[in-house]
Amino acid sequence: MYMKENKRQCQTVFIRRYKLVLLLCVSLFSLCNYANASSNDTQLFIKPARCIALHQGQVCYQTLKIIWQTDIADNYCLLQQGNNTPLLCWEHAASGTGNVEFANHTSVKLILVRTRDGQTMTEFMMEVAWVYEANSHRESHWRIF
Amino acid sequence: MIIQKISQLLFCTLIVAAFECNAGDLSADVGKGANSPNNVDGSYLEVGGGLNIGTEIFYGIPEGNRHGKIIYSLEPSVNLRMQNNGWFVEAFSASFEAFTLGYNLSNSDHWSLDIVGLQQHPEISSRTSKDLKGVRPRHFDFMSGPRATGYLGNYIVQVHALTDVSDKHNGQVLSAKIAHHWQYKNWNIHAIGGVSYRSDKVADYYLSVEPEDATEKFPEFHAQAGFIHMFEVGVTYPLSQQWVFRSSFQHYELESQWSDSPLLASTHASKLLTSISYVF
Repeated sequence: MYMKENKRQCQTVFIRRYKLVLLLCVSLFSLCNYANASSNDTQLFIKPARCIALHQGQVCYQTLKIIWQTDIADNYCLLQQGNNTPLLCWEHAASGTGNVEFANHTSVKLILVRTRDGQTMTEFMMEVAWVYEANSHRESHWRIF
Repeated sequence: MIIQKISQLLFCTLIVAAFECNAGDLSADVGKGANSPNNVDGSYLEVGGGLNIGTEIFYGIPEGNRHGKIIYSLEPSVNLRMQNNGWFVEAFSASFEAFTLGYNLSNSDHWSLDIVGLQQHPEISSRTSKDLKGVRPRHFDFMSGPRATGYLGNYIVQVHALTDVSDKHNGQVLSAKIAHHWQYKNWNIHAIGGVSYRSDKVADYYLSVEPEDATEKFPEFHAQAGFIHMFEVGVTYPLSQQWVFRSSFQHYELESQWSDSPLLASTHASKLLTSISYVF
């Protein structure tokens, strides 16, 4: 009995410490150029917040580091808006980390959803930028001095 | 003194590159991964610097150049395009064409036709290099003619037909180049291959040594029309939305019958150009 109680106390202390460490990490990451999206009690940090392609219209590739945290442990997935295939999922978790290989030619929303009811916990706009603008569409024409 | 040396080196690189072949905005466009003509009115500027390592073709340009000598230089990099009412100026340091003036006659989604004017050949005289003391001066030229550029998917083709309008040699230059670009992650990789023809008058003016000018160091030589082949592979990478990294390897092969010209250090040259530029 005493052993069980002791074990529970240890687990509680561990979870508290783990949460403290996670909170510390989240705070540090927010100071280290991570972009932050928060909604209610859910926080989502993504680094880098922008993907830079050379030319407008090119697919931009970027490895994104994801950190999120919420109050209630549940099953969550990170989705790209307009695509139902999850980028990453976590089970029975109130926080999570992971890497996502981003590849897109336009800015897109990344959404953290609770899988059991599809509720959006928070969302983040992943921006795609470029160095060189694409030329605007032009009609064929001849110039005269 | 150092600034003067750097500016001399830059000038030499630009003019020597101009002789070797011409691609002008072809290099700039393929490096950017362009799929359509870049000839709308407006302006564009990049400024930076880089390191060039390689060999040069002209004897004594830059000063001290000899066959097989590896030349290192830190150089400013300026990439510029300005166009207004069809008139344009182009400058792309890493290109085979240093500086082009032109007028855009026609353009569509895939083709662009311009009239261009540009310096194609360098001054070869003791003014540009002490190594050339005693050589009859050859002056830089200015050539003009049509330039057609086609953007066909990831391929760009370009042809020039230029004639001397500076009354230096009254020769012609014809050139054709094809470029291709690929994307790997955010790296833009490109390759350019081309051939350029120099007429008798061009070759004679810049590479021949007449009997009356011949010396022990610069013996008599008669150059005829010939071809220059070139090849380039390179990468361009966006470091940020304003900063771009470039690196390219260029190789040129000049007509073998010119190998005995005392004004050439070699009939082939290779260069590695690496730069970082700020895009305004």
